[in-house]
Amino acid sequence: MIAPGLNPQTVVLLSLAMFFIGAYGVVTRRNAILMLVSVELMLNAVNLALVGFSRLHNDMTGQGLVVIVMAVAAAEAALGLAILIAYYRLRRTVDIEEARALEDPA
Amino acid sequence: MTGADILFLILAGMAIGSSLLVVTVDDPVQAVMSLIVTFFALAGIFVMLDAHFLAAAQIIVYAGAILVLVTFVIMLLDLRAGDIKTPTKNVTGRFLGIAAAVSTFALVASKILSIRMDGFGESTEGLGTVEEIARTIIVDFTLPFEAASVLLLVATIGAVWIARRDDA
Amino acid sequence: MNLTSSIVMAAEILISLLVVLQLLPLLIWMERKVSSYIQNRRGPAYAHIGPVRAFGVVHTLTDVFKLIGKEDVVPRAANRGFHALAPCISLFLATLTFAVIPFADYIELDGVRYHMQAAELNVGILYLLAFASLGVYGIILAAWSSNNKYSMLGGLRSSAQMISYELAMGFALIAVLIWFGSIRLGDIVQAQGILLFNAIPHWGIFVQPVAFVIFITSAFAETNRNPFDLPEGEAEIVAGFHTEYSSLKFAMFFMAEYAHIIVASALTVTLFFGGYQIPFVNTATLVTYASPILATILKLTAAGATLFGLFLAAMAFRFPDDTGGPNRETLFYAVVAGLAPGLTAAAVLGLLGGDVSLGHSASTIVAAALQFGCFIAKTLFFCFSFIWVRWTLPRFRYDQLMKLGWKYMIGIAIVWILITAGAAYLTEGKTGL
Repeated sequence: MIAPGLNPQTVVLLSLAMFFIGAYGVVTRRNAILMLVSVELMLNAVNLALVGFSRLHNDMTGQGLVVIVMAVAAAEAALGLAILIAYYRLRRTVDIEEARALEDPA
Repeated sequence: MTGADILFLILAGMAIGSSLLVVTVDDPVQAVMSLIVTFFALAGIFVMLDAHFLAAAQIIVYAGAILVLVTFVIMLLDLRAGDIKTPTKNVTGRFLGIAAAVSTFALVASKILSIRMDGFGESTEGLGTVEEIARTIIVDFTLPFEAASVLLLVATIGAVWIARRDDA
Repeated sequence: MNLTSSIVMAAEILISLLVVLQLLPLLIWMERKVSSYIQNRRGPAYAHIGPVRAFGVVHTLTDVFKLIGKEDVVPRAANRGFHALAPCISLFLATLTFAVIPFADYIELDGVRYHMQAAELNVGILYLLAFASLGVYGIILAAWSSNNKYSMLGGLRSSAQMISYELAMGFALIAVLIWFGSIRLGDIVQAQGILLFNAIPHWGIFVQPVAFVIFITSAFAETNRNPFDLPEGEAEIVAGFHTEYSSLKFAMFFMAEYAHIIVASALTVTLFFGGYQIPFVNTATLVTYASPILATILKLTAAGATLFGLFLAAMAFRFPDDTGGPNRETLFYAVVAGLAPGLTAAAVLGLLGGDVSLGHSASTIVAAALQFGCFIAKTLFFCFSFIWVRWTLPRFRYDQLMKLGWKYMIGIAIVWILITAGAAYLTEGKTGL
């Protein structure tokens, strides 16, 4: 098995675990804002994997990509929250179970 | 097990523990605070992986800006702990869900770990310093960097426009 | 990591922690005294230990006892965990920020140079920006967990103000970084040691005046101090985000505000006023002349303090108190502030044989101590200016505050960055940077 400590295998495992936990959060949560928060968790898991591999190969490309991913995550969080605020003004709730307007009646 | 290994294990445990809290607690503000703890643990791991600028950027951007935005929205919409409950009644469903998640995780992990990877060697002097990051994103990745700045500008304007009040 | 470097590192950490924590009561006393003199009154004058009133310093101590002794009221519907956590976050972050501020140049023990900075980070100023961003959470959590509309309003206003002025502060910092060419605070302070045109020291305020104005205005806004203290304005919104706090938690918010003032002053001094540099005297000169400087200081203390103590004792007997004996408080000052240091310095001089000659390590320690004293003096001056401005200017209205932060300060800052970049390009290599 893998040795406990700071090695690429452990970093990848941690990143994978956080990614799956984030995915669980996205699928399970009913509050739309907390879904967004879980998506942020998934993005951070990816950042961790990128930084780990950048360290493994001594290449700064991974860290540059992480900067871009952080910028994109910020933009996406801002826009997602803006849409949620507008939706809240319309429907008075952020519960996604209540968002049934486009549901197939069958 | 060197001190670095123990520290990494502590930080990894903190990250996983607070991630689990993020996806399970009911109170939105508690979830956001747990995510801040996760980000701090990740920033610590980034420092251990010689990514100093990214650790600082993680705290400034994620914990200090994005999560502040999320907290503001939670407060403005006045979301309390019991408003929107994650359904907890279906025990069989939850058990099957968690079992499916864990088994998928084990499958993917075994496939990834079967790849032969050497341990972390000595890193080059100056990996992850501010000068190196600057060289990477401004010299090597100029176009994505400029595109990301345009994206942020568009996102700012878009977010302000979407969330505005119609009566103002 | 041998024993010497561990001891030096522990000493650096201890010093950076103690500077904030020990300047705090001093600052509380200064606020009361300075505000009262500005308002043409005397300030705290009654709290005393025995006969000693100490110009009101004892009043701070009694304040602490009072705040500890009050009942800790927590609203019933409040979130107790966050209610207790919020003041801790504020104070913790303010104290941690001091770790990257260099308070002296270096000391050399056994030929190894140790830089006097608790944490020499590669990312320098970004650490400070990170903690400025995190400071918002103390306020947000306090407002949210109090379950009170006034707290909520005050907290939202305060945090909105803080994040708006973080941007302006960041832009001002960028201009400073472009000019000094490094993101590390130690490098910035050392770059301020040279002389500009051989006449004035190369301090940040002389080469970046606009950035200084923007930075100090943002620092006022970040610390929620007048003229930006609408979120905690006393007559306006009860007490803003700390309405529901009493006893020790309120004391922690109180302390956190002064800790933020100390950190903001220290940062202003580091970036714009040469940090620990004594003007016109650089470190090498100090190390070379450490022995005569120390000898002069000891001789002056021995002579001056003893004379001062005798003078005070004479005054104590000249103006007797009500019972006819000498004024006991003045006698106390005569001994503690006059005779004791004077006679001690004389004894030290006598033991050393009338002249001081120090080795290289001891000279660097003396030089570092002098630079540390200079740093503390400059920081205290800026803390005084924070208090001075608070009791002089009226406060901004909220929309004026927001308009100033977003429209004017960011615009001016961006223009100044362009000017600085052009000037840095044109003077490349000429000013030794």
